[in-house]
Amino acid sequence: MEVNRKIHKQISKIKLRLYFILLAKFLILTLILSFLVVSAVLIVSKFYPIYITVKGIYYTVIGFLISSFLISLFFIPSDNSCARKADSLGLNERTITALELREVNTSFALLVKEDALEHLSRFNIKKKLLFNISKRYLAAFGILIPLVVVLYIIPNPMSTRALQKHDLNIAKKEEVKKIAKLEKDLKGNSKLDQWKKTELLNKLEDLKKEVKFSKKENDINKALQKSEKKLQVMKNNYTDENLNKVIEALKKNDSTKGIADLLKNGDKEKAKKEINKLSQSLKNMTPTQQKELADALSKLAEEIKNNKELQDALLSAANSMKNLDVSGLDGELSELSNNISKLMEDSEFNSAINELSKQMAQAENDLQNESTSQSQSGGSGEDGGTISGSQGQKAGNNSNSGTASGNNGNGGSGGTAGGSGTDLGQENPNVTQTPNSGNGIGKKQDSEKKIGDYEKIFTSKNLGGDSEKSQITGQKSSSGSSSVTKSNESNSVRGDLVPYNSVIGEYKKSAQNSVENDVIPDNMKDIVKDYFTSLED
Amino acid sequence: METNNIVIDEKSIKEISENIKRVEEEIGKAIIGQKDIVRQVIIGILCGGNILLEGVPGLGKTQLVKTLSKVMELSFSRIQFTPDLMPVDVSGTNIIKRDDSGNSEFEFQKGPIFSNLVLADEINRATPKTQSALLEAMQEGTVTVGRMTYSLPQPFMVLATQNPIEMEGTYPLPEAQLDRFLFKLNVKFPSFEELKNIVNITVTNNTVDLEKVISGETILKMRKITREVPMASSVQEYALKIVMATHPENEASPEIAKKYIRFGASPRAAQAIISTSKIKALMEGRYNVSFDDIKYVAYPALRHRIFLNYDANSDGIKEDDIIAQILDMK
Repeated sequence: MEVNRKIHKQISKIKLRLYFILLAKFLILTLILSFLVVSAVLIVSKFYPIYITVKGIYYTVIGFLISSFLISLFFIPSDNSCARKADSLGLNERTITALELREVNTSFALLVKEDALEHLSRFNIKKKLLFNISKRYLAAFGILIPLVVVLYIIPNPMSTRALQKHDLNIAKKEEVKKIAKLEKDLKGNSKLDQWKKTELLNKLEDLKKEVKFSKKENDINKALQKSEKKLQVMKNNYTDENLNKVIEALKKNDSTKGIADLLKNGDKEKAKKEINKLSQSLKNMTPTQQKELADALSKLAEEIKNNKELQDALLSAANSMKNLDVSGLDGELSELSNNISKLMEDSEFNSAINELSKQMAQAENDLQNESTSQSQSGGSGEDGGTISGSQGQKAGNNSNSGTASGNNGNGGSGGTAGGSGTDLGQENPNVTQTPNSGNGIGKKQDSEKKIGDYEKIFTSKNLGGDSEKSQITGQKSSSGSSSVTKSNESNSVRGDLVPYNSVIGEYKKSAQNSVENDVIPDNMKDIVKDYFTSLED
Repeated sequence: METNNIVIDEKSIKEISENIKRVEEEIGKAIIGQKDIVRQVIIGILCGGNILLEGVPGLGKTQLVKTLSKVMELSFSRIQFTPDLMPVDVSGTNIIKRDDSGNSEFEFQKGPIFSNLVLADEINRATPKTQSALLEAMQEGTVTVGRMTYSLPQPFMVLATQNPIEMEGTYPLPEAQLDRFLFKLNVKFPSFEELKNIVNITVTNNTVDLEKVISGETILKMRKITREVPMASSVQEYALKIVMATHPENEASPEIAKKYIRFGASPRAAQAIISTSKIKALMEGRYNVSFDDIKYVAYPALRHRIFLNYDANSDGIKEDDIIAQILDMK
C-alpha cells in the first residue's frame, strides 16, 4: 500500500538520524576511553619500558574507533523503536499504531495511517532529534587531550630501554619467523628419514626457544652460533665424504659404473637393487675382473672414515669376492647396499644441515648488520656484542697460543691455551687460573655470571703461525713440573679479548688437522677430539 | 465497514469529534467551569457507563444532568434518595386500575428510573435494599418487577451523587456496587472567577438557551463507532499494567501500592480504562489511543476501585496519590 510505503520512508529517515546520533555517542565515548587508555599507558611507561610512538597512539585511537563503529552496527534501531521515539516527541502513538495496522485496511486503519503520515511529514527530524554533546564529555575531552599531550612531551627516563626492548622484540620475531620457515621447509623435505627430520626439527625448536627467551641481541647471536655448532656436530656424524669415495670407486669399474651413476643421481632404491644383483653379474665376470673389483672394494674400505659398518661391509664383500664365495656374497652385498643407502640418507641429511647452517649464518649476519647500523646511529650495543663478534672473526687466525682468562659463572676458567698448543713454550699446561682470580690479561669486563654465556678469551692475532711470547698469570700448582725462564725482553702481547665461541671453530679445525697428521700422540687424539667437542656444547 | 448496519467511514468518524466538541461548547454555556467533569460525563455517556459524582451540595450536579439531557435530547429524572425510600419508588410498581367496564387489573407504573438520564441524588442515604434496586438497572439496563422484566430506555445512564461531608446515618455503597460505576468524579468547589460567572447567570434574569446537538440515536451510533478506535499493543499493555499494579501482592507494583492498598481494582477497571480512552482519543481529534489518554481516564476509573488500608488513612494517603505513582512507573 502506498501509505504504508510512505510511512516506512518517513520512519527510515528517523532511523538514520537516530543511528547517527547513537554512532556519534559511541564514537565520543570510545575516544574518551582510548584517550584514557593512552594516558594510562603513558604514565606506566614512565616507570616501565614501553615503546610508544605517535603512530602507535594514532593506531590505538583508530582501532578503538573502528571497533566502536562495528559494534554500533548491532544497535541499529528497529522500526518500532524509531516509531516510539517519534511518538514520544509529540506524535501521541500515531506512528506505532500505524505500524501495527500495516496489514489492516479498515476505514479506521486508513484514517490512522493517513493521520500518522501527515504528522510524520510535518515532523522536523533535525529539530526534534537533536544531537547534543553532553557537557561531561566535553569536560572529559578538555582534561584528557592536554593530559595526553603533556605526558607525551615529558621526558621519559625509560625511553632508551623501551627502544632497546622494542628492537630486541623485532629481532626476535624476525628470527623466529626465519626459524619457522626453516622448519616448514624441513617438514616438506620428503627425502629425509622421519627420525632425522625429527632430530633437526628438535634442534630448530630448541633454537626457537632460546631466541624467544633471549634478553639481549647478543643472546640471539649466541643461540644461532650454538645451533650452528650443534648442526656441524651432527653433520660430522653423518658425513657424505664417504659417499663420494664410494661413487668414485664404483665408477672405476665397468660392472659397477651403473651403480655409481644411480648413487650420484640419488636413486637409492634402484642402486640397492643393482648392488644386490651384483652377485649375478659376478658370475659373468672373469676372475681377473672379480679380483679387480674385490681390490677396489678393499681399497675403498681403507679410505672410508668414521663409518666402521660400511668399512666392514666393504671388506666382507671384498673377501667374499676374492674367495669366490658366491653364496655368502648375497648376504654381504645386501649388507653393503644397506650401508650405502644409509650413506645416501646421510647425504640428504647433510644437505639439509648445510642449508640450515647457511640460513642461520645469514640470519646472524643480518642481525649483526642491524646491530651495527643501530650502534652507529646510537642504537643498542649491549655488551659490545657486535664488536666482540667481529673481533672474534679477526682473531685466532694465525697464532696457536693464547691465554685464556676465565671468570666465574660457568666454570670455564680456561687457563689452558687454545689452538694446537705446540708452542706453548714455558707455559705449564697444568697451570690454570682459579675461578676467582680475575687478574689475568684480558680480564673480562662486564662479566655476567650466567651459565651458558661464552666467556671471552684472549687470543693473539696470528693463530697458526709461529708462536709469540705470551704471559700467563696464576697460582703455581703443587703438582706437575714447572720451569721458569727469565727474559730481559719485555712481553708484548698483541691480541684481543673475544668470546671463545668465535675462535673455537678455528682452534678445533687446527686441532683436528693435528690429530689427523699425527702431530698429536695417538693416545691423546681421542682426548683432544672429545675436549673440543665438549667446548662446543 | 459496517458494524450492525452502521457504516463506519471517515465521515462518520470525523463527525464524532465535531459532535463532542459542539456538546461541550453547548454545555459550557450553562455549566461554568468543571470542564473536566463535563468531559468525563460525556465520555461516560458515550461509553454506556454510569457515573458517581462526589461533591458538596450546591456545585451544580443536578444542573449538569439537566443540561446534558437538553443538549443530548434525553429524558431526565431525578431521584432523591432518603432513608425511607423504597425500591418500588425507584423501579415502579403495579397498581390496580379500574377500566371503564369496571374491571380491575394491574398496570405497571414505571418508576423514575425509566429515563435516559437518572440522577440518583445522595445515593448513600438510601438503604441497601433500595440501592440494590438500581444495581440491575445499572448493570443490565432492565428492571424486574414481580415476574415481568422491563427494558430501560437507551441510552441509559445513572448519575449518582454522594455528599462527602454528611456521612452520619448513611449507607456507604458496597464495593460490588461501586465497581459498577464507570467513573467516580470529584466535583470541586469553583474558583472565584467561576463563582462570579455562576452568580451572574443564576441570580439575574438572563437565561441560557441551549440547543439540541445530538440525539439518543446518535449517541448509540457513536458508541458503536468509538469501540472501533485502534489501540497499539504497547498502549494496551500499559493500561493493563496499571490495573495490575493496584494489587499489592503483585511483585511489579510500586511500594506505595504494596503499603497502602488493601484490595486492588477488578477487571472492570481495565475495561473502563480501555473503552473510555478510545473516546478520549476521538475527543482530541485523534484516531488512535495514546498513553496520555490512558493517564487521563485512569484517575476516574480507578479511584473508587482501589480500597485503602488503615495505614493509608492514618498517613493521609488518598487514592489519587497512589494512582499518580502507579502512572509514573515504567
